[in-house]
Parts: sequence; structure tokens; C-alpha cells
Amino acid sequence: MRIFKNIFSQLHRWILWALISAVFWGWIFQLVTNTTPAHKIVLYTSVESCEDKALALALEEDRPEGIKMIKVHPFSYAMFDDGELLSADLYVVSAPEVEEYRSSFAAMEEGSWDWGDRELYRLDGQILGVKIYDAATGEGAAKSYLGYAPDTDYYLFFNVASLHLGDGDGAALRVAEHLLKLP
Amino acid sequence: METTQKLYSPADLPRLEKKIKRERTLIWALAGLTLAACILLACLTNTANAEEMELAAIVCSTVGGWLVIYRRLFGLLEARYELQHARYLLETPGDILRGRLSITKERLRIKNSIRIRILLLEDGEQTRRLKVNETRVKALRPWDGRQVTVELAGGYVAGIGGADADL
Repeated sequence: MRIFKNIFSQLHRWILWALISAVFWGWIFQLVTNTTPAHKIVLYTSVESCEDKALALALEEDRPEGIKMIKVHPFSYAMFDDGELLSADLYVVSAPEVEEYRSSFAAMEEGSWDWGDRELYRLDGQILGVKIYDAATGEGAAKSYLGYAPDTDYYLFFNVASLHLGDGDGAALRVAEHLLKLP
Repeated sequence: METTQKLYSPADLPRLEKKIKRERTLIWALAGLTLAACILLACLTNTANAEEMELAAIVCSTVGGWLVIYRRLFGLLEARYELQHARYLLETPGDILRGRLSITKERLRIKNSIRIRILLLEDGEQTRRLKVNETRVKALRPWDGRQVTVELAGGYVAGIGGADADL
């Protein structure tokens, strides 16, 4: 009985400590589960549903040299800032959203990486991306991980500011090739 | 029953000092274990288990912290207050009062000090309110409702005996 009295008399301390603990370890794990942009590839997905952890694990199975981490960042209305979004290396976005992110996309040179026989997204004579999901046929890459809206085409793009394109270490291109091969 | 009883003796001081040392060791051990467990969880983190490990570390740190806070507030600090109080009573010369003792249910907590219980001492002319360390109330139970002699040091009961006792 005395122990409960003691506990209730200090309720504010227990609550305050729980909050401090959650914030502190949240911050520590933020540091532990992150690394510098030079050593990670970030894939931003704007699809209906995303098995982000499973997809990251699948992509990490064939991690390019020098890359310590592959992060999959699904779109969320609860994102506090767009820093992660703007610093992503790869984007999977639906056709209607392309204009919104257009300025972030890098132009690709033909033959710079293996996109197979997939349809390309061209704008002003430049190749910007490849189709990753075709609404007409219902065929798409990494369908086990990415839930595409059935009546919308999706494309894969590269961030123009990525450190991992052809003139860098090319790691983003290797991850893209792997992504397109995932079931 | 008519024997006199001192509520504090010099032998209490080393016992309380030992208790303080024990509490301090326990608190450091708990804090160290909690921190070590959280660091271990952070080190075992990978892409597959990051969220679970973070949750486990938060739970571990929260519960460990609660135990540390509880032991500090209700173990270490209480033992320190007890020690200060015992030293104070042993060093303060006492007054002798006589009357009929009643143990009330009124409890008080003095900030940064011990928990106290209020006693009433009626001597036919007036009723005095006396204070006693809550942990020593048990020793006064046999005297409840009886004529007693009380040794009072700094407003606190330090000893008790029968009506004609020589404290």
C-alpha cells in the first residue's frame, strides 16, 4: 500500500522521465540508424503502400561497394520537413506527380545503366526516368513491396543532386537496376 | 511495560550510514545496468530490427530510470534524512514532559526531511502537539492512551517511559 502511495505522490517525475527517455533514445537511434549521404542510398516512394523495411532489406542484399545503408522513405503526410525527400537519390512517383518534382530529376544518358526494355519518360528530348509500373498491363517491379495505384503509371527517377550517379560512384544506378529486378 | 525506551541510540548512526552506502551502490548498479542494456540494444540494431530495438531501448531506459528515481527518493534520500534527524536528536539536549499520550493519524512530510506523525500529550492543563519520526511510531504503540514521561528534543519525541520514569 505504501509503495503505491509513494508512486502516486511522484507521478509527475515518472511521466517526465518517460518523456525524456523517449526523446533521448529516439534521437540516439536516429543517429545510430543513419549515416552520411556519401554512404547511403535513399529511395523515396510515393505509392499507395510500401513495405519499406522489407524493401530496404531486399535492396541491401546486393549493396554496392562503399554503401553502408539503403533507406526507403515512403511518402507520409506526417513528414516534418522535406529534407529527406529532397536529398533522396531515387524517386518512385506516379505520372501525375512528375511535374511536382520535375526540377529534382536528373537527365540520364542512354546506355548509362541497364533499364532493360522498359518504357522511358522523356521530357524536352531528355530521358528523365523509366516506367516502373504500367497501369495498362498491371506489370511492375518490386510489386511485393510497393503497392501501386492500379490505374496510374509509376516512374523511377534519379535526383540531380545525388552523389551516386554516373559521374559519382554509380551506386544509385546499381540500386535502381536491382530494384527493377525485384519481384 | 514500565521500562523506559530511547527511540534513538548512537548505534543507529553506523546502521544508517551503511544503509546509505548500500542504497548508493544499488542506484549506481541499476543506472549502469540500464545504460549498458540500452547501449547493447543500440549496438545490435540493423535495418530489420531498428524500430523494435528503439522501442526496447526506450522501455528499458524508462523502467530502469523509474527504479533509479524510486530508490533515490524513497531509499537513499530517506536514509539520509533519517541519519540527519538521528544525529540532531542525539546532539540536542531533551526536555522532560509528562501526560497522557495519544497517537493521532495525522501525518506530515517536512520538505527535505523525515515523515512525521503528530502525537497529543494531555497533562490536565493543556494539550501539546508533539512530533515523532513516522518510522518510530511502532515503538510508541504500547504507550498509546497511557500516562507517560516523554523526552522531547527539538520538538521531537526522543524517548518514552512510564509516568514516573526517569529518562
